[in-house]
Amino acid sequence: MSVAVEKVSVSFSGTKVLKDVSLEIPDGKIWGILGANGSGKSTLIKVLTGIYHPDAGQETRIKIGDSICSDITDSGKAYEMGVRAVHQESPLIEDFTVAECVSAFHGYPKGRAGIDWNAVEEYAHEILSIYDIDVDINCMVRDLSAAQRNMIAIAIAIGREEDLKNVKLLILDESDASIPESEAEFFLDRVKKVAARGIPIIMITHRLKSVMKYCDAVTVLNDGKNIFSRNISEVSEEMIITHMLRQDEDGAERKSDEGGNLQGLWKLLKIKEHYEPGKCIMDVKNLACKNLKDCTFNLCSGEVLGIVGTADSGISEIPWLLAGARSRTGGEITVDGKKFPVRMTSGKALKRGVALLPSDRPKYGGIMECSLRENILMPAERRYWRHGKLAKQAVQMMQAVFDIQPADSYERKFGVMSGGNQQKAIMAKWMSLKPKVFVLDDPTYGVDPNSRKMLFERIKEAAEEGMGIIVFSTEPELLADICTRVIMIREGRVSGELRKKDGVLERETIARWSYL
Amino acid sequence: MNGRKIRNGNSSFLEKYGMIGILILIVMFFSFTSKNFFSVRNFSNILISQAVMGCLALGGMFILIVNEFDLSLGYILCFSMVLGALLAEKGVPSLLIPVIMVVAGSACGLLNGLITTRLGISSFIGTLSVGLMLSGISQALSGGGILNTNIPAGMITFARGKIFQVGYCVWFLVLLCVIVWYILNFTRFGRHLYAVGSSKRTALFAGIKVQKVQILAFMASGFFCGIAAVLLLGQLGAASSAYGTSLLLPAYSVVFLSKAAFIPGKINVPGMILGMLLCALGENGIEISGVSTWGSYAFQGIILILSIWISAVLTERAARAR
Repeated sequence: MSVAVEKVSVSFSGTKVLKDVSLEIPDGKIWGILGANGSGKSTLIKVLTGIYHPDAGQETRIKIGDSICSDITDSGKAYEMGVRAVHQESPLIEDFTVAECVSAFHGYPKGRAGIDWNAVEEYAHEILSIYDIDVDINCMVRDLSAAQRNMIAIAIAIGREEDLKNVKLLILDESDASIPESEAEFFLDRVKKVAARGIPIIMITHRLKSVMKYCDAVTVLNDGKNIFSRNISEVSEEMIITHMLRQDEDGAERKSDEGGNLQGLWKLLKIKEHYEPGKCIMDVKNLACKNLKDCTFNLCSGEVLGIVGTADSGISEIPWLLAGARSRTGGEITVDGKKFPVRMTSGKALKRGVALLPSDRPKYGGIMECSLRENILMPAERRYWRHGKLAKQAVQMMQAVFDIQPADSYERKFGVMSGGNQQKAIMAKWMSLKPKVFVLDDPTYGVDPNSRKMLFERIKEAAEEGMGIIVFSTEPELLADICTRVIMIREGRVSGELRKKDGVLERETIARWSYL
Repeated sequence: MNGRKIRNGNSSFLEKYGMIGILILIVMFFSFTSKNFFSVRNFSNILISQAVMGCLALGGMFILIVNEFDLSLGYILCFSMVLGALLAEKGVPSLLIPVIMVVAGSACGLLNGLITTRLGISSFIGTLSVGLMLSGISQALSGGGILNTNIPAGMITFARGKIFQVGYCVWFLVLLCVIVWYILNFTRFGRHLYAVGSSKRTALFAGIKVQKVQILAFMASGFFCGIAAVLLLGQLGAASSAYGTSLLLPAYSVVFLSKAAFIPGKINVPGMILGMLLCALGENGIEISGVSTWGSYAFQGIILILSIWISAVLTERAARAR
């Protein structure tokens, strides 16, 4: 028995996201599937769990254990066929104890007088011991560490001895992403035990080290195609990284000045800010907060600084700390000579000239219920109060400079605009303030290729004018394209710096930093 | 009983039983300030007067555990009472009246449940609308007046009478508490209530039929409103569209208080009983001491704030320990 996928293609509104992918996974092997964002790996997984459906094709087949079909109709059928999936944030019931949570998912054992709690306890002990999980069953789920949660999620997904024979495929979808590197080994050892029982396992992860150590083979997806599938002994990290990189995209190519430019916008709004290119505009020393231990770097006017790091390196704290949304527990942040006070608010950061384009757009980027105009003018409302004409001109100009569609009305709800247009509007919103430092967190998430180009174009223009720009991204291609310098954060500290050499920033190096 | 540990995890002695200490303090305090406080008769009467609110609180537990809000409790109570009194006036057989009242309450609960789940309206607004609607219906049914003819004698004796110094309705309330405690701790439905209250999305993921659980929770609350209505009608011997609506908040405050005792952070029956005693004895003590009625309102308000705050702190503390 094993798992095989033959000639599976998936299209969304005419765009092919998976192109004729074929793959075979023998029993008892841990198979890594790697690929950059948008390479199609999550689509492939969703096909296997019955959430997405392959395009009809003569030779399209999905084989799981003994069952063969050309389309897994829904998650119920996937379960019946023996597919078990554990996702990154596998939901467990926070307010229950570990023991009860297991029974909640599997069904409570019944005694003569209702639920048999002794049996619940025994069952929990049994399941945890199969996988060698050392957790107090009376511990509340919300008190567990990420590694423990994920192990328990796996234990629940697979079940008891007798359930094991029904499991034909285990999918670990970035389930190790939230586990700190130090605990990851512990977790992956358990995964190996599961494989030892003959179950094929698909592991999706960004941690190349884990892949090299624990996987028996890998498949690399790129742009929806299966680029290669090889045994781990035949591949090297370099090979994987090179093949994961997106094929060449030109950087922004657009006729400049077609819709006006940032200079014009700032002139219209009569902004007094003046840049001094080359001046050190931001100085971060020994910054500490949660996973971030001791982070030191600086930024000069006109620079585009890229920052990369794995999920648990503490990198996720930095954008919020720079923008004042979180207060640091140690270190100093100085902008244009002025230090940040310990108790920060985002208003204070804005006053000192730091703006943030946040990563979670619906939550933090823009107010979906308000109109485009309201969103785009929001940070500087006082300027436009009673100056309706100025407001109108400002919005018009921003729409032209940033090519925000739809161009006919500014009153439509922000939420109905496409991701790319929303992002352009948010960038317009902040850039119109002419900040000293503009921090961008994952700016290309959910953004179509054309909008990406526009965003790049504007970033380059702003940097040329003298704005200091910091970009966080998990896409090495993006960083290689627009940054003048890239630093890597690891275990809470800056542990590497790369400067543009001969006009080129090495994508491979950046990619390695993102994935290792 | 290690079942308790498996359900509730580990918590400190003080967190679990601290409130008993507070109760003892209150009893001691008021026993000193007034001679009449510490007597079997006084306590027995207090319990009888709290029985109605206790029923409402039991129903309210179901709602609050699944993290919804039911603003119609008082209105369902009132409607059921008016309906019962009207039927009594028309000569409907006495044994049938309580049954109809309880069924009517459950039906209102079902309506609340359907509005919240099928129409997707937030329970806050949905139940408020149903409540207001019922209020209008109650007024129409009662013709704006007080209905007090022919209330079955059995109901009155049950609601006011005592056996072994303790009211019939109090014994009955104890029985109801045991049943609810059993449901919440030993049936799948009860545990599913907690799961849904913790996170609807996760419960769905675990295969729990979330909508069914929600609807049943609303029906349970309506059911207990119906029972409360039977008791209140017996106690007052009359019904009008103005009675009963003020009991909503005291009932909820007592349910919130339960989060501060026995099972910190979780709504539970013994905690609710303790909370009920705390409020009842406190209020009574204040009244007996001679402070006028504003004293008991103020007390209710303070208790509500304290109970929500304490329950938030305890649940937050457990969450922050992560």
